Amino acid sequence: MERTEILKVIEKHLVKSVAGITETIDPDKKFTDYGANSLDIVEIVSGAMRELKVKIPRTELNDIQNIKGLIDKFETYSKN
Amino acid sequence: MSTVDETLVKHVHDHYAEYTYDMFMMNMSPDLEEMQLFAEWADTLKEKKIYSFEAVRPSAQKTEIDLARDNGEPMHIINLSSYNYLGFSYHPDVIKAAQDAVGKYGLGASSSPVISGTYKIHKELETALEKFFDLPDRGVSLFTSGYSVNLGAISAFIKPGNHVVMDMASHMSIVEGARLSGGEVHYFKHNDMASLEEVLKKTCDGFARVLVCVEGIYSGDGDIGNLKDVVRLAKQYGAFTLVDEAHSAMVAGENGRGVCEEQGVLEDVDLYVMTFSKAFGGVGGAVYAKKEICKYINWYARCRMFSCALDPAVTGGMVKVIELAMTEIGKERRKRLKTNAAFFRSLLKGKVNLGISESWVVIVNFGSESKTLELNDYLQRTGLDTSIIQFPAVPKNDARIRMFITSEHTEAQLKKAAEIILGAAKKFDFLKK
Repeated sequence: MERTEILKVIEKHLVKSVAGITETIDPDKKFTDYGANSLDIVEIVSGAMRELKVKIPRTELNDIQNIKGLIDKFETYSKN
Repeated sequence: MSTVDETLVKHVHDHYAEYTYDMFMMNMSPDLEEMQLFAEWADTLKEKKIYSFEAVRPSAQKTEIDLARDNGEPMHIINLSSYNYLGFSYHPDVIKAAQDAVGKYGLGASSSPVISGTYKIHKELETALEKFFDLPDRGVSLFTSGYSVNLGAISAFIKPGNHVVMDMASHMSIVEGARLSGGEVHYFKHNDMASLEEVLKKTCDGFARVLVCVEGIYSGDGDIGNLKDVVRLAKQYGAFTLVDEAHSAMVAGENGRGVCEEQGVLEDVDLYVMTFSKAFGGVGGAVYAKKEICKYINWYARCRMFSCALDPAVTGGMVKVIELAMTEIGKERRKRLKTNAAFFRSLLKGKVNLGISESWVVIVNFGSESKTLELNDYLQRTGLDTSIIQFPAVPKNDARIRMFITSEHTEAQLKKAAEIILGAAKKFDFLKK
């Protein structure tokens, strides 16, 4: 699975959750930098998993620091 | 229930300490995986005797009580987990008033308040609240929970195309009310006026309605909202304001009219939200606003319209609570609560991280939510019950012990509670360095 494809899906769910995002998403930023609250983050990650049909183990979600970190997880687990 | 991968279930059982509550919010497949895994997790915690939640109380929410865990284990605890701030939930006059009301009206209202569920006692409660807040042009709309006040009032006030602007630390009921409304949802940094103004500049275009939502006391942080500046800015940009005074109504301000009274903005706030489950000692809630707004909310807040009215017992009890709150008893209890909170805070100050809390909601930050289970188990076993909060109620790795001080706690109870907290801080490594 291409990283650009993963980012596109995450971006789609982020924009759906948080009003008024017009800028290009920078993967080095955190979801909170774009105004997402904790409930939004749960929904973004959950929605992206369903759309990409990739399951990240629940215990692996704790150490994700930024958007790039989530992309890394999707990339790893899409290969399994 | 559909079959879930047994290796996942076994992983949850064997590695239960690596899991946290939020991990089971994720739905990843069409089966009921997250539900089955959560059930396995909760059962494992009970099996390991560290499930300290949902413990059963055999009596009223007094300051020191017995409780029994789910597995029957008995505990005796100092109660800092209930927000019965003025101890009114078990005041004998309140209990009597509730008993009288149930004797007169029966158990339930048996209908929506706009159809046939409005009893005389509901009208008495409305009048009592109007007297308590004492503004001539205001009315009250009653709801069956504080949560539903925000759901109903925000969604009646804001329509698609409008905007809800809220403090990032806002309660989940405000977040969900905003989402339900269909309006665009915007956040500003906690208590940060520059950040609020930035959002108002973008949203206040003279066409769409804008509602700014803030709180008197933020329940997750225990700090006080900067209502004076929020109201000033909102007025400057033509926005409306909603202030949730769940943890401050009946407590803050000389007459108990909340942080709005304390900061001199009671008359300027458009929607004043209160819950009856905190200082009022009951359950339910209300919005206090101009009469025409209340009339509209009564009919267009769908969760109110399509719910049964408040039960008579609680309604009767609330009338008595308000009566007491307006007497010397109320004044004295409010004063004692503030003294107690300051005393408790002084016992912890400089020793643990109290975050930004500055009220009777005392917060001790302990960091990662991975400590929550063992910490809460330890606290309860050593004789203290608190209200732990963690992600997603607060940001990740910013979990907190939250304690509600009441006017009824004794100095000895507060001293003992502080000792337990400091012992826990040493054991779980969150003493201030």
